[in-house]
Amino acid sequence: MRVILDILLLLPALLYQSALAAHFTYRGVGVDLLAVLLASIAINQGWLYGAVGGFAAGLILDCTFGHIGLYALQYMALGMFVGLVNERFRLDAIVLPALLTLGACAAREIVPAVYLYFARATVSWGYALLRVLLCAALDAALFVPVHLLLRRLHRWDVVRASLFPFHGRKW
Amino acid sequence: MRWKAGAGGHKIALIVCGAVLCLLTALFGLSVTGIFKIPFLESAVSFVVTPVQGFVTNAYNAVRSGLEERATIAQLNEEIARLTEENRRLQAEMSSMEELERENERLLGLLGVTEVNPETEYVAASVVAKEAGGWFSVFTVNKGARDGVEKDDPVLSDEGLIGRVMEVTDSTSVVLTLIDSRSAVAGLVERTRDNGICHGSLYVYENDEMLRMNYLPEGSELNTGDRVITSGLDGVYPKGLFIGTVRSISRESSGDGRYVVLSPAVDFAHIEEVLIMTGGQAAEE
Repeated sequence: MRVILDILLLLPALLYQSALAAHFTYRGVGVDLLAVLLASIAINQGWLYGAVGGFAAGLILDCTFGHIGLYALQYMALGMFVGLVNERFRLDAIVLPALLTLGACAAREIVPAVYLYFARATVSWGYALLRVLLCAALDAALFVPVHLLLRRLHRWDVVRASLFPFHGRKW
Repeated sequence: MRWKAGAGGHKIALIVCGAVLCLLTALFGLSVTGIFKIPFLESAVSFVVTPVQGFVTNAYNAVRSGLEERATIAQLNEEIARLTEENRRLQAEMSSMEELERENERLLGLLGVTEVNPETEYVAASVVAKEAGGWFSVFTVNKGARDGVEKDDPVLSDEGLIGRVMEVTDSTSVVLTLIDSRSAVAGLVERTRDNGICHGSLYVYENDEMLRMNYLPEGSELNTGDRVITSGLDGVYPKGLFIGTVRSISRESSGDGRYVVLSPAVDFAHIEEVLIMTGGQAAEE
């Protein structure tokens, strides 16, 4: 059931990221809702869910924007990395997962810059690094409420109570 | 519901995921160089995703337009007064332009050019998705190969040149804009007739510039406000499409020689509808 819930959350995040997120950026700095959600799923559900979710969502973005592999690689690696680190070190509090998300999102943001460098585009690395860190900081800040919400939703009884309010009640 | 398996299963899953990551890296490398494409997958995904993206984008645009309309009624009255004045001025200019047009037709006739672009056709398209990351300036429109769109077709708005078609599926096209740092256009300064190459520089430099013109000849005397158009020398864009105006002139030299910073003709943040030039105009030029 949690998997269905995750898919239901990933779909609007994917739509937002492909159709609306560009309108909510300032000088290229904005939040990546999809990355944040994938990091939270990877921590809650395990690295395999993060990797598979990241691969599927990234592939859809790749097909939309015409560069096969770029987003699938980034989001799959992000989901896998966050899940594996969490599994290894058992990060229970909210601060450490948020810091982990910050690192993963920064690493994810670097990938397009490296690609542009190899595509012979000019990249000012100091400025690029500043932007990467700002984006990652925003992602980490958004991670806290998203993760708390997802953790709460993953407790099945919360979802069940809202979907079936009269279930189990004696009349 | 956390994925549980024995140590063997865990290792196998890790190896499979690692292999997929390596495969994706290789696929991406090949797709960048254009060697590898998965057109059927892109078409299938576009077929499913594009209508939903189009709906979301249209809903967003409707909400934004509604809010903007309310905010700009007062501005509209000022605008009407200004436009009335401008209309008078343009009517005066138009009469002299008509004279120039007749002269131009005569000169073209003398050169034996009867029709400049006989196959020029335009396809109107709406933007359905925009790449959100700050690194690329790419968007998807709702017209594709079945509407006659081909790779490298120039894309315009009423303000000027937007870019070119980078990828085409049956029902959608991906447009690479001028300001994307992978983009390059052969430009011509209208006043001085100096040739150069316009490179996209979106978010590449600290001073929020979007477009640079490099490889200008030594001794070219440009002024801020000079109009830059396509020269047609790159074989992709036809001659005469408005790229932008000179915003600032660098006294220094970059790695590519002297350069100027351009203000693009198009407001890339608010593109909703575009025109795609089909029929291979650049080749005709």
